[in-house]
Amino acid sequence: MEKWEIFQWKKSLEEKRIVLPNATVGKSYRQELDLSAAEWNEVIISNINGLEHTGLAYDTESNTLTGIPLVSADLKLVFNLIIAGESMEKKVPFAINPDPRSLWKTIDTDRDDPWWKPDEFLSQQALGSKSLVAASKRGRAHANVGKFREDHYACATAGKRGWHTIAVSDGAGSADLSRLGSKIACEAAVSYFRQLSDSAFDELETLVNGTTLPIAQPLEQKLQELAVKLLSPAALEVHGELSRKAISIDASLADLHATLALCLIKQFQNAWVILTFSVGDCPIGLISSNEEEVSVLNWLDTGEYGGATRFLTMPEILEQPDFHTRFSARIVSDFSYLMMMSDGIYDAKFETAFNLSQPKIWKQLIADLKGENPDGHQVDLVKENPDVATQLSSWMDFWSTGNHDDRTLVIIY
Amino acid sequence: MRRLPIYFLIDISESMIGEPIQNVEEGLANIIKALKADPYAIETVWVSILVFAGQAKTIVPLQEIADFYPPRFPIGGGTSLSKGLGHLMYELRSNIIKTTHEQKGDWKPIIFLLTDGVPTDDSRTAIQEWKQNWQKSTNLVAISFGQETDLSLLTELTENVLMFNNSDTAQYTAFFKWVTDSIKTSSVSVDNSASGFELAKLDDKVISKIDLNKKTIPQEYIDPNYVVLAAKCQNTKRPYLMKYKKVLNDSPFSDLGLQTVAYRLNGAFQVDNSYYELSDQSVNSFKINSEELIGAPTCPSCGNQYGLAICSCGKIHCIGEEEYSTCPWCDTKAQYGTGGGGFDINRTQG
Ligand SMILES: [Zn+2]
Ligand SMILES: [Zn+2]
Repeated sequence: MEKWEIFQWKKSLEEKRIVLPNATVGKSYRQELDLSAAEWNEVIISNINGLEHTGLAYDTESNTLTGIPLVSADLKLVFNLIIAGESMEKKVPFAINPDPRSLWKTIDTDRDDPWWKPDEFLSQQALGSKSLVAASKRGRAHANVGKFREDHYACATAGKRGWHTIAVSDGAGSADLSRLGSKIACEAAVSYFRQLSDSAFDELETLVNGTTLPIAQPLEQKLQELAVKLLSPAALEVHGELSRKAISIDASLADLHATLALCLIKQFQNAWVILTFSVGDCPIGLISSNEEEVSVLNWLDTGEYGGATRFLTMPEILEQPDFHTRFSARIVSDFSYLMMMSDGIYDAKFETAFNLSQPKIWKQLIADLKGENPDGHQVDLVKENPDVATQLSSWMDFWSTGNHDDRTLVIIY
Repeated sequence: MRRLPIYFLIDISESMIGEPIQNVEEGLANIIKALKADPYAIETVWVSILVFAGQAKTIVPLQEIADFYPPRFPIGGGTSLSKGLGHLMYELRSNIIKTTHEQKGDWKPIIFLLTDGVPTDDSRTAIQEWKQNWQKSTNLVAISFGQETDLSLLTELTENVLMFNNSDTAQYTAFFKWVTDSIKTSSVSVDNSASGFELAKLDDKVISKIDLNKKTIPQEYIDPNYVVLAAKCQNTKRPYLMKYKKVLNDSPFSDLGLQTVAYRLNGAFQVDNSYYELSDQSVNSFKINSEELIGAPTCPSCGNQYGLAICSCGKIHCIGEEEYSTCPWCDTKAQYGTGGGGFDINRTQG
């Protein structure tokens, strides 16, 4: 070999790249170096420096790097090469990525905060011949910085005639007191119906009792009108309660920005009556008894790049010409599930409003709840399951890349 | 889940060779390292690196940052902003996921355009296309390295035109930290359904915002701070570049305040054949007089004593102790002596 050839050979070895794909903490790693190219002839890798404490080791016989990485690191490994009797060093970048889940911190909320609320709330109860289970949990984004859960839900029986009220609310991320806003929204809605005299339901019940299923078109119209009549004072009352609270604590109404999905439900002799109202992006889905059909009972205030969510705290909502379309009314002989959820569940499991209308996506969600998920969390949606709420709570810890929001899910089954 | 695509469109013209490109390489590696430690960014941010000189090329296709492996930056001849922009638009067209019924599309892509030279071609058509199709659906930040960039062109592309003072490695570190912070805040703000684009606070000593109303410097066609000469090795036939940095010397008439301009050797670098792929072959060469150059390198490709021999064809190659040398460009055999006096050498456009 001529002098310049040795010079160029060394030069090209200097330039030659050894590429080691990234490893991940806790995931078994194995990479064989391909040294078949001509320049690697007569090159011996004598040692690699920089792998200490990583959990990985290099085997010079098989030219393989193996192990289970222990810690995340961005390393510059130093390969010691022996080339034609001379030694040479080569720096090789090697990254051990952290497990993304390990990057999230869980920081406790301030117990002394006047509007403190628990990171998690769950409940279960009987509802007519069916059951209700509900859970609401603080999301990773809030836990990471010690912020409060901004979601809320409440459910209660209204009066003595078997009507139930369920409210789900999502406080705006940008509002300082949204955790309080969502709480007030749910509690005010529930308490409005609790205080309502039973006779307020007379007109509706008379109509339902005189109905045979399936209901005729004109009746549906009448039912819809009754839903507006019954629920719109509740919406006004919730808005009013939020306004009064804002004044009393010297905050602006916008500090309490929160959505509201409200459902009034009762089991009759041969039918279920379901009335809803909503502002914001918490869907209410009704799945038919054969699980083949789904009706989304409300439309969602969503925008393409986010930020377009509407809140019940926005006074203009109540005056908009489409206000009446925020109400719905259904009479069905039976159903398999009724679900209400915050966007923490909806974004992760449905992604788009269109998918909410797809029975196959709801089927996936139901299968997921029943245990078809990587964590094997199972919610036994059967009557008189004493652990159903804690099962739902565990299920709600599911990992979904990029979805860090609070999660709230209410299921009637 | 919705991705936040981050594109880097980086000028890799000849004046970037040596330390600047090393700083960029290191800077990008540090950005990725920092983003990996951020829980929002590691789940949301996708990265792609595009480079342009006389031609443009993708050196890192759009990928999750967990898969990112530091690329090697090539060097090319010329600064074709129109090729760079054209390639960027091609990549955006092919990779950005649009919102459909079934799927939420990507967040608005953020693009960092880093350039240090004056475009050597006419970029009006590309800029027009950019304005029409992409200006509104992306967030572009144009960063000028050094004074020579024609800022009026960049201000047509975006309102975010920044000047980066790339004097030393510490400045590069601060600059890339600023880029990292901007990406991090953006990845959090998309999560909060906010605008999704927030530049971090600027440190005026490192990077400053350009006043769009201010008049910009008139166009020049060559970077005057550096002279870069392209050569070919006689032995290996591989291309290499010699970089000279401007120095001002007091002239013999220095009491009159006169200074002479000269260029001192900064380094010689072997490049691979991608240099030709990324160079604009049609560009005319510019001349520099050999008397203005201080120092000559050994050949970085074969180790030959003298890396700056000029053939009668006008091209540069290396020579050693051989009696007769063969020009690797034109195959002419010739005997070389040390030339007296100055002669003109073709320089690249940077
Ligand atoms: Zn040579
Ligand atoms: Zn020649």
